[in-house]
Amino acid sequence: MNNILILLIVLPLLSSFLVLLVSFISRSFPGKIFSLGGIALSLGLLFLIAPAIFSGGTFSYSVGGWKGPLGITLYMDGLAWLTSLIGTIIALLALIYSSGEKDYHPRFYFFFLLLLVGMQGVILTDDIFNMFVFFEILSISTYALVAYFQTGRAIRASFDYLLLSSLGAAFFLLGIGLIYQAGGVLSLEGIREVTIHLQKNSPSMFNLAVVCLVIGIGIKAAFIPLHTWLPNAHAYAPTPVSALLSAVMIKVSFLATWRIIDIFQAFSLQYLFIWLGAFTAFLAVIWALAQTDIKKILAYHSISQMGFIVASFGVASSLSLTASFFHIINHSLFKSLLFLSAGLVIYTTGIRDVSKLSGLGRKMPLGFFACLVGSLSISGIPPFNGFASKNLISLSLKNYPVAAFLILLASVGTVASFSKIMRIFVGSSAGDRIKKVPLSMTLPLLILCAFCLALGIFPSWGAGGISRLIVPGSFSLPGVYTFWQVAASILILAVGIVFYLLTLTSYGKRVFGYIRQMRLGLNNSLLLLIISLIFFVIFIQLF
Amino acid sequence: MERSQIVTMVSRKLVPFILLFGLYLISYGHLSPGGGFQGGVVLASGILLLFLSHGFTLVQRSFPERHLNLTELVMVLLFLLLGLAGLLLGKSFLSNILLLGEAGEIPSAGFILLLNMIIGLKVGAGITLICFYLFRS
Repeated sequence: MNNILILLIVLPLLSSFLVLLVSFISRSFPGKIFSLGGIALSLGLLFLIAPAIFSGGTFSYSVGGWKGPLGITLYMDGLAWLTSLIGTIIALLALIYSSGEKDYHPRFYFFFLLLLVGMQGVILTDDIFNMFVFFEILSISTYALVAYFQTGRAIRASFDYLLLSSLGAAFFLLGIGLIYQAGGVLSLEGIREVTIHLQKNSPSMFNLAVVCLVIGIGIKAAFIPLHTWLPNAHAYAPTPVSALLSAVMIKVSFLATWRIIDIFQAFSLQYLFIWLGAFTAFLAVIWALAQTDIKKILAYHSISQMGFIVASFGVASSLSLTASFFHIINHSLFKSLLFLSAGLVIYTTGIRDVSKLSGLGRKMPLGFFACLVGSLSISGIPPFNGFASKNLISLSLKNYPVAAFLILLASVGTVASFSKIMRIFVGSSAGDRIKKVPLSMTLPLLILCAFCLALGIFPSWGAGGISRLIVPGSFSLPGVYTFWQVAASILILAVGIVFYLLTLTSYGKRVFGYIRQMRLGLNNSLLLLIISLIFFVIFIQLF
Repeated sequence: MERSQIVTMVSRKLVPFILLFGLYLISYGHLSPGGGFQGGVVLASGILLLFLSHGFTLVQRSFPERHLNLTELVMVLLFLLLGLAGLLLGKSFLSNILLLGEAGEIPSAGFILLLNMIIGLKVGAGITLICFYLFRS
């Protein structure tokens, strides 16, 4: 049973190299069968250990039979299992979608599987240096995938991400070095044991190390002010990759932050996350409203929704952690749904600009339906899953009215900018015919729609399961479908649509045109990274 | 670029020894400083010296790109399969599957020698390929 942990990492790795080998031997043989097979097998393995995980079991595994703290160990608990499950499901669906979209080079499948290897490794590892290694695997495959189309913009986006992310990795490595020097251990469990001792004896060194680790991963988790690479990278990547990056990769990085804050007991940083999250949610939505490229809008919304997750994580109560994780899962589902349906729009029309599209609803009813479900989910309208988790988040932010207000504004902005996306499906359409869409592209959309609806109608099923897996002890989840909450969501919908109409006026257009011009270049983002590092250090030293 | 007789001659005489030294590093990796990665890099540096002194076409003839690619791929797969073999024998992933032997002998330390050889070939092929791609463009 314990062997499953290593198989989850080795199977995608093995199949990724098999894809390359097969393509090397015969050009005609479809190597993607191996990639589908590898991911499907990992999914099967995850289901195999589900009963044990749900009865509260944890697994650990020592590679090569060398026990910790010196050997390399893997560890899986409820948190890791859920993340791994959602990552594998989304990867499988994105891969099915990609097989219909176009003929990708075997290299694409290779890097796609390598990305999955990195994610599984980051989730499962119990060793902070190994986490660094797997983060590098993850990042390198991301650079290659973002630049896959080899257009100037894609390469530029990938290069910006490469510079920022390698700087983050350098900070992460520095943090590991500091911890190893002070504590002499690298395994996460070992660090947990020496944490209290270190906090007492060398607090400033310890704090610097924690901040380096958090900032290093924070680049990949993309909360403001470390978000600057994300919109371009996610927008110019191939669609299945955007779906996987937005839905899973930033979540995995955030969960690594979660683990690190938990293990280092950096509770003052966790408090800071409430404010970081609230501002992230609010500011990213404003930029999302200003965009016209459909994938860029979605990318900015990924940042914004990360803000919801981060803010709720910062509150650190049982309810808020459950809400945060529930939103992670929900966001993975509806954001991959939205990215894939945006990809469908681009596939059929070849246009990315939402202001140039209209009347698609009649031509592609399925794409319309999928995009509608995704938009309603992300806007938090009942009975979709976004409603359930956003409600839990706003309940958990009860004691922080300012943050709750910012989150509320972000919800209104979300409705407004998804009204903009939905507008492409209504109205009159030009008469030209559109490309036919293969079944392998629509099937993943339907599956994701079903998930969104199921988790929305039975929120206690999803949130209850999550709280059982990740929160020690039991607590009673508040009900989601009360009269006031449904009424509030309807009100948000109405205000959001009014706000959208306001952005269409000439004054609104001028303001958002101005905002669209305000972009941070690479130099400024690097500067911002250093400033936020210094700010984090000062904050953690003072509080 | 004008080709210098001295450089051509010296590198031709030197390359076999560099390759031999690479193999030495790989095969003694479990006993002395060195190992698969270092040995592989030395192997690659030998090939690169040939490449710099004799030009691309000649090196391509004796080290075709396709074969280097294939070596790299197969070595990774072999490494993984060796790891999985431990799993099949009821131990854990990448645990030793061979006899330990006597410490200090060349065939000792279980399958470390085997792994070093695999890594050496993989790294050698990989670094050579990287430089091929870089110099060609």
